[in-house]
Amino acid sequence: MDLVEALRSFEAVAAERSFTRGAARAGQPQPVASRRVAALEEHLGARLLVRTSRRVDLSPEGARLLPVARELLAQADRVEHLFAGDAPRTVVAVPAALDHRARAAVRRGLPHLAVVFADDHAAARAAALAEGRADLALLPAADDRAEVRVPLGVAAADDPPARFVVEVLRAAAHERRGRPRALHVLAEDDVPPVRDPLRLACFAAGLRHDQVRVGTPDAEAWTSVFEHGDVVLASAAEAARQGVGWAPLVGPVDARGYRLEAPASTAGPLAGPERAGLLARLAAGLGGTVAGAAGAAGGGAS
Amino acid sequence: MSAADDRLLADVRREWAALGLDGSLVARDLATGRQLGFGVDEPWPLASVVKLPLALVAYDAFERGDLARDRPFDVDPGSATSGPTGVALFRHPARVAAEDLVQLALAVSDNAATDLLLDHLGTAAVDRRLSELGFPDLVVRHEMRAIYGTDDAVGRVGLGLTAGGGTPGGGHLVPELDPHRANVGTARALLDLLARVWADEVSTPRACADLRAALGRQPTRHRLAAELASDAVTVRSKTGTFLDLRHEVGVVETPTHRIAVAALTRSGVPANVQIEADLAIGHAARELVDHLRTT
Repeated sequence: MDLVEALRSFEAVAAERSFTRGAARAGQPQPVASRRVAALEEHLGARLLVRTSRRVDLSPEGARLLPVARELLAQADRVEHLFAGDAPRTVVAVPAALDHRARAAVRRGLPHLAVVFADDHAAARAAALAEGRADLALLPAADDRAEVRVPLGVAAADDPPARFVVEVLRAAAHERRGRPRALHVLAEDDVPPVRDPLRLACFAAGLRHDQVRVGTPDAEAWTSVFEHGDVVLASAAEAARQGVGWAPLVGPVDARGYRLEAPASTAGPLAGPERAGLLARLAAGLGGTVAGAAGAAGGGAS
Repeated sequence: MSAADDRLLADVRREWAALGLDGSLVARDLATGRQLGFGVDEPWPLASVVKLPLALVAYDAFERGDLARDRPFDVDPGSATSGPTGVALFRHPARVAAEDLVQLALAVSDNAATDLLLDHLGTAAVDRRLSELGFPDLVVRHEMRAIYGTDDAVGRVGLGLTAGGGTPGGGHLVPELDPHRANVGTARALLDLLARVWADEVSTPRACADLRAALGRQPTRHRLAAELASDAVTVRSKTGTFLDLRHEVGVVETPTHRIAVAALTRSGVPANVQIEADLAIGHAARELVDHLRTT
C-alpha cells in the first residue's frame, strides 16, 4: 500500500465529507479513492470514516488521524516540490577574494544562467571542475596563457616601500637567534607558475628554508603579519582588505594568471561575448585586468 | 651520552630541520676519544671532502718514494678539469709540482690539481691504498671531473633534481650523489683519519705533519670556522659542496683541546649559496666543541 496516496485520499474525503467530491479533490476516480481508504482502514486496523446514506463523517480514530495525516502530506508535498521550481544553475568556482560588487555584476550580466559562486583555493577549484561540481572555474595559468592577470606584491604591516625585494627578509648577522620574518604563500598561490619561481628566487636571495612558508592557512598568515612582522604574497586588494600596506614585488613573479575553464571537451555554457563580459567582471573583482592578446591566442574553453 | 648531550644534539637537529638541513654531525676530543654527535656511520657522498683522504695518500706516496714531491705536472687548460679556483682557472699552459698540487687541492679545493694527481696515481690505486692504511670506509671511485666538469645549466637542473632523486634503499639517480657509486665516507671514518694524522699514527710523521699544515691553509671561513676561529683557536679543515651537499671536516685546536669535527649535510634549499645553512653548521659545530670543552 502506498501510505502517502492512501492518506491523501482519506484527507480529501474527510475534508469534503463525501467520497465523490473527495475523489475529485484528490484527482482520483471515485472507486480508487474508496479502495484506498478501505485499504488504509485495514492497514491501521481502525474504522476512520462513518458512512451514512447522505454523508460521510469522521470516526473518533479518523478525527485523531486527520491532523497527523495533513502534517505528513504537507511534508510530502515539500519533498515533491523541493527541486521542482528551480531553474538549472550555473556553478562558477572562483577565488574567495572575488569582491561582492563583482559577484552582483556577474549575476546581472548572466541573468539566464542563475549563477552561484563556489569559493575555494586554486587546487580545490580545479578538483571541483574535474568532478563536475562546477560548470566554470577560474584556474591558475602560466603568465603567457593567462586571460586574467592579478598583480601580485607583498603585503606587510609596516609602511610599504615603493618596491619590495625579498632580500630585506634576511636576518641581520647579529639578530640570528630569533624567529626570522617569513614570506607566506597562500593556498591560492600554491600553484607551479607562482610558487616555484618565487621559492627559487627567495632561496637564491639567501633566505632560510623556514622563511618561505607555502600553503599557510589565510587567517594564520595574516595573523603572522601583525604578530611577527611577516609578509604575505597578495594582491593589492587583499592587502587593503586586511588594512595593511602593499608594494609590488621585484622578482620573477608579478601576477597571478588565470584562465576561465569549462569541463574538458565542452564549450561551457557561455557564448563568446558573454564569456568576455564574465572575464572582465571577474578581473575587476579580483583587482586585475583582462590579458587581451594572450587570452585570445589561447585555445581551451574559449 | 648524558642527558645534557642528548639535549644539545636534539636542539641542533631541531634547528637544522627548521633550516631544511639534514646530516651527520660528530665531534671527537682527540685526547680522550670522547665523541658526541649523530649520524656517525651514515655513508655520505664526499664531494670535495674526498680531497682529504687523497691528500693523505699523496703525502704517503711522497714518503714511500712512489711519487717525487717535485715531479712536474703539465696543466693544459684545454683538458684540465674545470672549477672555480686554482689551476682550474688557468688560461695558459703551466707546470706545477706534485706537492704544490696537493696543497692547491686542500687549500682552494682545486679540481684540476686533484684530477692531475688522481689520474697519475690511479683512482683504484688510491682507493686500495686507503684500505691498506686502515680506512676501508673511505671509498674513492671517481675523479672530480665527474661532478664539477658539468656546466652551469646542469648544475641548476641538478639543484632541483637532488631533492626528488633519491631511490629506495638510500640510492640516488645522480651517480655522484649515490653512496653506492660515488666517492663516499662516514663521519666516523673521517674522524678516524684526522685522529691518526694528528697522532702521527698513519704513514710517516712527516706525511702527517705535511697534511696538518696543508689543511690549515684553507681560506674558507664561513662554515665550520664561522663561530670558532680566532687568534686563539685554529680550524684546519676541508670543505665539500656539491648540489645539495654541504660538508666540512677538520680539527679545531684551542689552547687546551684538539677536537675533530665532521659535518656532512644535505640541504633542502635549492640554492648554491646558502649562508644561512653554512652558519647553522658553524653554530652547531661550535656548540659541540664548547660542550666537549666544558663538560
